[in-house]
Amino acid sequence: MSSVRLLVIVGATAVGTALLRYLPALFATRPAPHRLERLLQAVPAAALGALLTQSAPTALPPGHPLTLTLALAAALVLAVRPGGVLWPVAGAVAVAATGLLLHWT
Amino acid sequence: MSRVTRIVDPRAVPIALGYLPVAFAFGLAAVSLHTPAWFPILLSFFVYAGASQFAALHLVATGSPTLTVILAVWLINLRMALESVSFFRRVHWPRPPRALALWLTDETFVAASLGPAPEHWEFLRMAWLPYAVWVAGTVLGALLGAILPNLLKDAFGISIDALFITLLVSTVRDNPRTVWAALAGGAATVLTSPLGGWSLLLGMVLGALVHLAIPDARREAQP
Repeated sequence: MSSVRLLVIVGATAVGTALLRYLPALFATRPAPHRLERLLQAVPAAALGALLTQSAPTALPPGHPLTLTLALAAALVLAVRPGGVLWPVAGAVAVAATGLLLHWT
Repeated sequence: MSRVTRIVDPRAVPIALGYLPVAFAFGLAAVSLHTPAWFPILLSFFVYAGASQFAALHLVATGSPTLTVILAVWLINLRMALESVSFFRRVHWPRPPRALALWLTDETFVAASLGPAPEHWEFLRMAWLPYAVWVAGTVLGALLGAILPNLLKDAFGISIDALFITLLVSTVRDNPRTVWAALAGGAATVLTSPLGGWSLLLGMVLGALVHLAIPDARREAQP
């Protein structure tokens, strides 16, 4: 992996994200139009759907066809439980433990 | 007000505790995907936006074009503009402290939106600890990732997909209609996969547009 490429990614994403946070702080005098608000609300879900579709096939380790299924099941079960940011963390840890177990067996 | 609460708002503590293991997992996952340790640390220090950092990591590891990585991060973080608009319409700060917007995250936004509008020094007391813990957790994960066995690192590689799923379920639970955006985003990514790295961006944009095209029943029901 080229260091220059990674630095470009860090720089560009940092500047873009800073502008997204800071510019509204300077110019937020009117609410966003309703359609824009709905579009912005949908982007994270669309992004996650796209990311999962792209990454799921590569997340399946060869020789362990159950890993992804179990990982998805554990994450989903934990995610639907109520209670703030700790549940996604618990989901990630559970999935990592499942992956570890399947690598060992 | 005690000496401790003069420095840290009590609302910052659960946020920071939640950030620590996620940041650790991020640093560890980055090293397990064979990026240099400074890459996740700089991302946490300068970008400070969890889901988009994981997405950037995944896209870099899968060899996506640089522009795709950058645009994907911007798209995922678009919601921060909306949060910033909402937050800064409530508070009436002078211009210099508005730079604290850089520490506005989903969690600090929600915490700061409860109760009366905070002054800038109150927001500072709430926001610095989660940021410090996020960076420190990433450093810890990235450094430990270099000495942990490969077996453990491989297992943590799956945690990225798990985090995507948990974030998606949380998003859909907050706003059930966004499930259509997720499904359309996934379908569009598959259908445009011959286009290579661009399929991800097309998936995001098309998914969000499909959500926009579906009538908002709650709004139409209003008089």
